[in-house]
Amino acid sequence: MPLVLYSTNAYIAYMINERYYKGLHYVWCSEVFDARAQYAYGPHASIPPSSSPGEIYKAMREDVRRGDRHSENLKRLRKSILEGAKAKLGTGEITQLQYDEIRRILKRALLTDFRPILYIMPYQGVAKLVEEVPIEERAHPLSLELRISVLPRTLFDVIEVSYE
Amino acid sequence: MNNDELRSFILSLPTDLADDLIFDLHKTMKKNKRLDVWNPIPQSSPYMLDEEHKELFERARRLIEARWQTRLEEVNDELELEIISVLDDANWEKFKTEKGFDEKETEILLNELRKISPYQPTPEYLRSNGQA
Repeated sequence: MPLVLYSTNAYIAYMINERYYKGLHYVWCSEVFDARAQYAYGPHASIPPSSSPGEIYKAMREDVRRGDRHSENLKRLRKSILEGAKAKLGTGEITQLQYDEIRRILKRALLTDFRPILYIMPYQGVAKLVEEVPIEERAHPLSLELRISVLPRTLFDVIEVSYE
Repeated sequence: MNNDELRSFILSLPTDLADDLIFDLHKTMKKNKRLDVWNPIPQSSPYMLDEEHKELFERARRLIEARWQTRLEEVNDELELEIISVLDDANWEKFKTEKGFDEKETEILLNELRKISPYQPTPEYLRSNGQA
């Protein structure tokens, strides 16, 4: 059983979750911060960069630091946040007006609003909420990837670090 | 063939319908692809188009597949982003015309959101599902 789980998310996603989704967060997470620091033949060595919180954190910081508004990663992220909102609209958790607001916010947001923040979740608190991502949805079939669909703010801490 | 026909098609639809269409198209592109945290569309999220509008999906599919000479389910990450950008850009133009985009008003809203700090409890009025 791990001590903690790590997840990298954009500050703007955090704001939207707090404001529009009643402080409930949707996160992909990992038992390790940076897969590159793992034993080469260990269970976490196969986590690809696109699912390793440390590597995502580094890539996002780099995009923001360089002022790269057109970064492919940020485009994907913007689209992903909007599609998350679309799914919530579909299930009736937000209204059309709120969805339209989120769209405008994402269009107007500055790069710094997309800076990464790191969620740290003590495992005991989230053990019943966490699910293993099905193999067909993982970034790598052998990597252990976890997901929490409804994570209350009270169950994690947030930090920002200078991790290059 | 360039992107004009696809753009015109998106521009001919009401924003909300085009939005549902783009969501469904994107989900289809993701179908046979492993996901990652940059774009984790939940596979369980429902399709948005109702039966009445499924023919729009098939028309959009034909336009995309003719333009890029590939099946929708087979586009790679790079192409996926290119196609979605074309669709989204057209729909954003439509959105602005239909629903408006007041930059100042949006900036005020954003500044309100920026009061939400990850290091302090979010004030209740800011966690009000947008109904403050």
